[in-house]
Amino acid sequence: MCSGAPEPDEDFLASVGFLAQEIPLYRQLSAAEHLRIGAHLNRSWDAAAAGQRLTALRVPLDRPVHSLSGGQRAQVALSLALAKRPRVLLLDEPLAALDPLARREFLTSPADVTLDGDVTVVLSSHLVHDLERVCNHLILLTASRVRLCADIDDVLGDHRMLVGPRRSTAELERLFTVVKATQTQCQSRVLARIDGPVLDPAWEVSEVGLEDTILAYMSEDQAVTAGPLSIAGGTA
Amino acid sequence: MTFLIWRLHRAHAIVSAVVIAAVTALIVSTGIAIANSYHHAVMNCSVNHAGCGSIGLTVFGSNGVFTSLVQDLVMAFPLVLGIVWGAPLVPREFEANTEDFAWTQGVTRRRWVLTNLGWALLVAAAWGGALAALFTWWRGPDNAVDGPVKFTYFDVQGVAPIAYTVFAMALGIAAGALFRRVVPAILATLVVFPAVRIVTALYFRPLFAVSQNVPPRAGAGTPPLSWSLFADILSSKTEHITYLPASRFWPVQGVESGIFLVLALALAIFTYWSVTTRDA
Repeated sequence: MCSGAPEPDEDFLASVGFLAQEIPLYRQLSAAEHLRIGAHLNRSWDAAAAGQRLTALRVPLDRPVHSLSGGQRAQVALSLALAKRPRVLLLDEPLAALDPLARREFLTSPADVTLDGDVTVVLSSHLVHDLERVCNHLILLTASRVRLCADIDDVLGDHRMLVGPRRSTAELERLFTVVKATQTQCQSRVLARIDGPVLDPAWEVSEVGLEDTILAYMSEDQAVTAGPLSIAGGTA
Repeated sequence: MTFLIWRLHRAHAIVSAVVIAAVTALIVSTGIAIANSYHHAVMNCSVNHAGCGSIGLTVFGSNGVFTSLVQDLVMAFPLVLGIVWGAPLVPREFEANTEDFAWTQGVTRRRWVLTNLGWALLVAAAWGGALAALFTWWRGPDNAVDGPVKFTYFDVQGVAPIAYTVFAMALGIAAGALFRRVVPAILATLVVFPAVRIVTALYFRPLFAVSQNVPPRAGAGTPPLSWSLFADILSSKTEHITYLPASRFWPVQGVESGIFLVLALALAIFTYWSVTTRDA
């Protein structure tokens, strides 16, 4: 499915659920009416589950969606995307417009979904911290290029911050992949992807968080070309 | 698909139905009034041999305001339909970002655009046809007195209004697919539809006219019921006249309908191409 441009046929459409950043819904229609429309537009459609999901979240089904809060609208749109029972669910920055509480509630949803069935959720976002909780795989894009593609556990396990007296990083670069090195007058700070123990005792080695790792990759690229950060977290 | 279209255009359909009902009521009531005064005038002429020369004046003098009002309404109807339904059809999705919803369900864009075009053009044809039929009846007395081929008389009866309405709808939809914004689409429709109609009526339709030399007569040189286009006195014995005879009503109606339907088809093909190939 990822090789070449997908054929826009109905099989392809049936296998992909999509939720765009703008939370596309017909303003004047209610959630229930969206569910009825979806039933007419899709081969498989689980309106009952979507209705129950929204009811459990206390989202009114019978009110026009323009009268709902941003978080409720996002839940309606997500429920519609799920009702299709897609194999792949694409969530394109659905968190951008949400307040922190709504964001947290929303983020638990994809995780719940993936427990139920055979679906991969691809979530793109700039909000690194939020993704760390729900995603288990990370694809880091800068300027449309993949900079990092790994399980989040591996990303956390492989990257280390090395701090030591100021010196050349040539030796480190020979052994490991240096993501970012900063030199101050008396200190060197190196964020590196390591695949073995750091034997040189001059380096003080510490663990590094996901956000710092990602920012290191981004700032390294910024010298060349600044691009937006996208993170895709897959839960399978 | 049809359910989605119905749900999104239900309000349009209800408002349009009310408008159509009001226009129908106007056409029927004024039509009956006109037919009555026409029959009175004809009776007066044949029984009392009075007022035979001024039947037209007697009938339409008393109904003149309504006559032109109804005529204008029917002339404007295709444009209104093209603006209210046609032009916003594609842009309303883009302006609300709902194309991301509509085009990512289990229905291809191909089917989305074909079903939308199909229903919109079918409804345009049906409503254009209904109004044309009503108005053809309404114009009965006027046709008998003044003929059906004059500019604006020709344009509201027969089969051509069906083609005009289908064209206006296709034009509105195509403009919407091109601009993806409601306002430019409406403006384009507002400019292009009248322009094409006027050019066709005033420059193409006269190609079917008859030219002949006749002895000049005071006043009516052209045959009755025809559309006089041009008259030039060549000498004291001959006058050159150009006119569209009433007998050419149906051939010209057929040709003009064909032209507008072909234009509508071309616009529908453009819409199909635009929706299925351009990025969302």
